[in-house]
Amino acid sequence: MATIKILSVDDEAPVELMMKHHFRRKIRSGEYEFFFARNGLEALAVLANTPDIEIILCDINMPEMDGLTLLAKVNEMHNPAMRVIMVSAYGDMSNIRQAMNNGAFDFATKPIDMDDLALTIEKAIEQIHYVHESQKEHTQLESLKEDLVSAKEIQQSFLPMVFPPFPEDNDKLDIYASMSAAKDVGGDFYDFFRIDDDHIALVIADVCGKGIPAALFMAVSRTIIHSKGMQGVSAAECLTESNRLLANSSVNYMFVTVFYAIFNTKTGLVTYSNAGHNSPHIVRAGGTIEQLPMDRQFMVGAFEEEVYVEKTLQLEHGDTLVMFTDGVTEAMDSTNRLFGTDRLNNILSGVADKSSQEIVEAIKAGITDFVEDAEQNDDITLLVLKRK
Amino acid sequence: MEENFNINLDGTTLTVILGVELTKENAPAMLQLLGRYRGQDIRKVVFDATELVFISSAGIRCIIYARRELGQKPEIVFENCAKEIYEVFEMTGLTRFISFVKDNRTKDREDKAEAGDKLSQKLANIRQKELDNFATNSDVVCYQMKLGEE
Repeated sequence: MATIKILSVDDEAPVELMMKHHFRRKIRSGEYEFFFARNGLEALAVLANTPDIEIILCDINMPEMDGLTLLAKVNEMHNPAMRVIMVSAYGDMSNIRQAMNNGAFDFATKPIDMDDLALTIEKAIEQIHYVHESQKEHTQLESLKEDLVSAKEIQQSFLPMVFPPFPEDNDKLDIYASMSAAKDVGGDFYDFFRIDDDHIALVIADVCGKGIPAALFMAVSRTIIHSKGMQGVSAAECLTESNRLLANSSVNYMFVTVFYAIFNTKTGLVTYSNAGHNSPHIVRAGGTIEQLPMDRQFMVGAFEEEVYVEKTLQLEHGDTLVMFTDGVTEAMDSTNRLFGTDRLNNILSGVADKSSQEIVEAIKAGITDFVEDAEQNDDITLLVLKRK
Repeated sequence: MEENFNINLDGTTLTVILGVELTKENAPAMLQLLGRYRGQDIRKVVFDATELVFISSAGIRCIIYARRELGQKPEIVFENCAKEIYEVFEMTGLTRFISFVKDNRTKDREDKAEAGDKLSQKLANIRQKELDNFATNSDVVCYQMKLGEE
């Protein structure tokens, strides 16, 4: 344990002897180190030379600078760990009261009861340790906060942000996406990438939980699914293989719900596999809305032996596939009402002629209007594909 | 926070009585407690969800754990599961291995509620029919009502 440095400020010479004698064992063992000054001015000089002094035993009536003035000067130093114990004559209660009101930690009266003073010093040391611990935790928290900002930046860099993502296919498709994390880092992600000249993969996913663990699992899941998908395997095969890898290495039984689709830019055929994710909606060119049927397949990472199957859907010109995470339908207002599928469909009923970006913005605006000032409790992610 | 659940072992059946919520607040404690029953040849895990109104993804992890780690794929049963929670299990595929049962009291309560709903609907239909009849046979009155003369 670090040595506690104590400054005794008193114009009476015997006080120094008393301290050295009474605390001789602690001084010898290095627990305490004493410094002495005869008045407030001398004390300030000692403090300037030894800034890590944290306990001051301070007489009140002294020449040059009295104890109350010294206390005021010490307060100006703003050292939260510093503890000042006033030591004064028994009859000097009004000054002692004033010192206590001005932030002194405790007091002792003369003639000094050394055992009592020793207890008061120990009490002060306890508090000083507590302050040091709090300061340490505060520093760690600040550093964590900085790490979180960096983590958020890294996580955002995983998500494709350039729109339109495939300018060479601008006449065939229109893609837009958005992810707003509920915490500094989130567990949702979206992805899209070209597999070959005619096929584009689209992924939307939601990792269980939030915060750092979810963000780490998200990074691993996204990388595995992306690299498997880039090999040109089918949607079902991509999820089966990703699941095998993730379930094997899944810590704490984490999982991710995934909707993985492969869009044929020539024919408009979408081949998809859904691993426990919210069923996407289709807005047909004529304005009708359909929701894909539930597939009842396990989430990726939950059960290693799962073999995923895939289905197809046909997007005609002007049809739009709206993929989202449960943060959309489960956005909550201040009375805990959910945004729900009906409100989502209400918005979708008026967007058949809108671009994918306008559709994403319309849904986000609808959620913002609904939740008003309620705190966002889940990541909100949208991925919209429109066949032109 | 209160753990909000109880676990009892009876032979090879583990019964988990759930509270109102199974979320990140109490799921880690449940995972830890379930871990004590690993290697004890558990054949069946019954989750009593009579009180349960909300389950988060952290709660779902407890069910995955029970299925994966307690015995050789033990039978998982949910007792008195609310419709909203059933829908979550359905979307995530868990309905493929969870069996759902209702105790007699819950069944009785739900039957009564259903019967009540049917009766209300019947009464509403009769009332609507009466109104329609009245409107058909009282054109003049309705016309006057529209004009605000009645």
